[in-house]
Amino acid sequence: MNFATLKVAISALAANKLRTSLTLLGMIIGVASVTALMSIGRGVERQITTELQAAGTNVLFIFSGRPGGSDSETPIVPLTYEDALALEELKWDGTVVEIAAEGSSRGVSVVVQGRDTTASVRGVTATYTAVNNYDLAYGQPLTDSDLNSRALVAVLGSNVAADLFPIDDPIDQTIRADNLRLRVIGVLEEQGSGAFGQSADDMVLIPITTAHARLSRFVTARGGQPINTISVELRDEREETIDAGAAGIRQILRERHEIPDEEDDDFIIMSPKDLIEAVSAALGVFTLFLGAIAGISLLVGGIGIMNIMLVSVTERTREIGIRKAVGAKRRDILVQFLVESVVVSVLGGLLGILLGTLISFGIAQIPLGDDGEGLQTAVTLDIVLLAVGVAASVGIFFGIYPANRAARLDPIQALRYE
Amino acid sequence: MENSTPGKVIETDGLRKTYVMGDSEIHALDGVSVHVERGELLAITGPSGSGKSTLMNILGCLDRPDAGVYHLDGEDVSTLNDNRLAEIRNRKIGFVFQSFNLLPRVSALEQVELPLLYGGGGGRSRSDQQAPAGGAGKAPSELTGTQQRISVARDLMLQRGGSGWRDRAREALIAVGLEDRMSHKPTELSGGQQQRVAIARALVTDPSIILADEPTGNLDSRTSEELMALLLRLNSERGITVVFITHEEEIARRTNRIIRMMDGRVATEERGDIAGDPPGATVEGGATVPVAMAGPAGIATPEQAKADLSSPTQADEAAP
Repeated sequence: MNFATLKVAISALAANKLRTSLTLLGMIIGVASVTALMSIGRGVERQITTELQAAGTNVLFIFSGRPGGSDSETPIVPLTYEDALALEELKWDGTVVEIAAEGSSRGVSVVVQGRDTTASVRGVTATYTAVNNYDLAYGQPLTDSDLNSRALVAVLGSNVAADLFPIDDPIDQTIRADNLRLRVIGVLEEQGSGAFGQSADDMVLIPITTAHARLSRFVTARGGQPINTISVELRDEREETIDAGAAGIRQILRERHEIPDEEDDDFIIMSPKDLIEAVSAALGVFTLFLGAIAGISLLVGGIGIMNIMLVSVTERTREIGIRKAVGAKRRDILVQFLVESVVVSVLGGLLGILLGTLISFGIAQIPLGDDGEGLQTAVTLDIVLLAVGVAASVGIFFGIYPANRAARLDPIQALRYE
Repeated sequence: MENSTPGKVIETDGLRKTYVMGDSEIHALDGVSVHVERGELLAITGPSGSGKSTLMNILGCLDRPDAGVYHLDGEDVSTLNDNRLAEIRNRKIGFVFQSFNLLPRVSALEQVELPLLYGGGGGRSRSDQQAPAGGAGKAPSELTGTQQRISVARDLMLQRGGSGWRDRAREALIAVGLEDRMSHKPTELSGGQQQRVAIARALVTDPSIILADEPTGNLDSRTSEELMALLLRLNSERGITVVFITHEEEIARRTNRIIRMMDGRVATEERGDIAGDPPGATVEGGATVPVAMAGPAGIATPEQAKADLSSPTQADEAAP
């Protein structure tokens, strides 16, 4: 292929402007829908991964449960506050920096001076906000002495604070949650939707000891305070550190839960890295799935190209004969028609990306949910490359049959064609 | 390249071509042996169904014979594959068709460039030619019309067109008298002008032979005459071998030699009205230095032909 071939292709396309534009439109719609849908998938993927990373990639989360693939029948020993305390010994060599525990949360009605809202009250350790990278907007975090004294204090999530104290300073105000009267000592910064379940914005954090003493007096069979999750902050996020940390945690918990060697763990240790990988793999499939659905319209666009190329070959039979008579080889004719279909598909692809990007931008502007934020979309380079690549492949795939038909025409027959 | 008979551009031996139509076989060619001398002006004639079109297709390397041997320029081309045949068509054969067969929506200049596009720009080198002294170095634009045409013709013979496809195409168009129609598209040209473009296209690669298949069949008598004059002039002035395939006796007569076909065979061969040996054939090595014609008597209407030579396009301008 050279410049002359390209010129011939373009002038042939220009000769039938309406037909060419309609064929182009098919490609544009196909590529635009692929681009737009994939950008949504990619945007969601990005949003979730960003949030997961914000939690810190050097934190291990431990919760009760059987690791995947386990078929153990033995009852699970629940995680307890005491388990969390026992992990403190891992701090000795510096692998583990901090340990935080959170109890189960309860959705309760929180009331203050005639205002009320629904929030989940959650008992946590003093380290909880730090380990989870929750910064305080103002006020103080929970302290160890709050825990020791089972103090009736609370740190509010940003939504709770905004609902209850739209104007006033919440610090040192007293709120009533369930049957507890709690003094507000701090307010968290807005965190956005949480990686696991609820957003910290809708939480009321109280000392885990207070929660146990006042809210849920439930005690496990072994006499421990049941908790939901233990977060373990490691020194760094290197593979070795994570492996060493996880190994230490496993050993201690297995010992405490008296798990025999042949038995599976009754807890799951998850690193955010695993989680990010798992989530983005799943979301990647989702993105591709969206792309594949949109790809159907691309297929239709491709069939449009093939259709029009077949018509074009028939119409230009005589031209093909002339070209062959003056020395065009099969290859020359093949390339000529192939270039034509590829020009349509690639041009359609580029315009489609443009349109798809506009659509994706438009989608991001539509407010969703109560926070008024739109769906995040991202037209990434790989989407653009994929779209152009697929468009060009469509052009070649659907162009090769008509082009080959043209190339194989017998010059004598073609010259005689009326 | 084998060069068995230097004086012969075409030499065939026992060409056969059979078509199957339903149950019956049609022997379109039934052992045709012909030869064409370099520089010759030949007519192949015969009624419809005599096999002359089939012969032209084979001579033009558009088709292969079922049996028999065809030497073009000393090379056996009867068994070449499609790609090689395309190369041969490109380098050695120029077609002029009854229906002009120009590409739609393409300017005259680009029509003429087309064979160069497929040949990669390389023409047949004619090392046997001598360079005439002087004049050839001047750019065509510095010269007047007739001078220009002479200069261009000389340049073409010298393969001076190597300065680019566009220049060569331009020169070919000047040679057929279409210097002021280069950017015109077929729909903007008269029939005669279109056929001139086709002739320029046939000329541009400097082929061994021009095959003219009923070249005047779609033209009125006056334009036909101009076209014939042009082809005869190209033959006489530049020694280009021209083979007419025609059923018009009037055209067939204006050649050196007539081959009459009948039922797939050569029925008779006779001398045409242009007497004497074909130009160039007398010179050893096939040199094509313009050879004096046997005289203007060879041209049926010398006045018209003359007018055509001096201002070839004027007559056509009246046409739509």
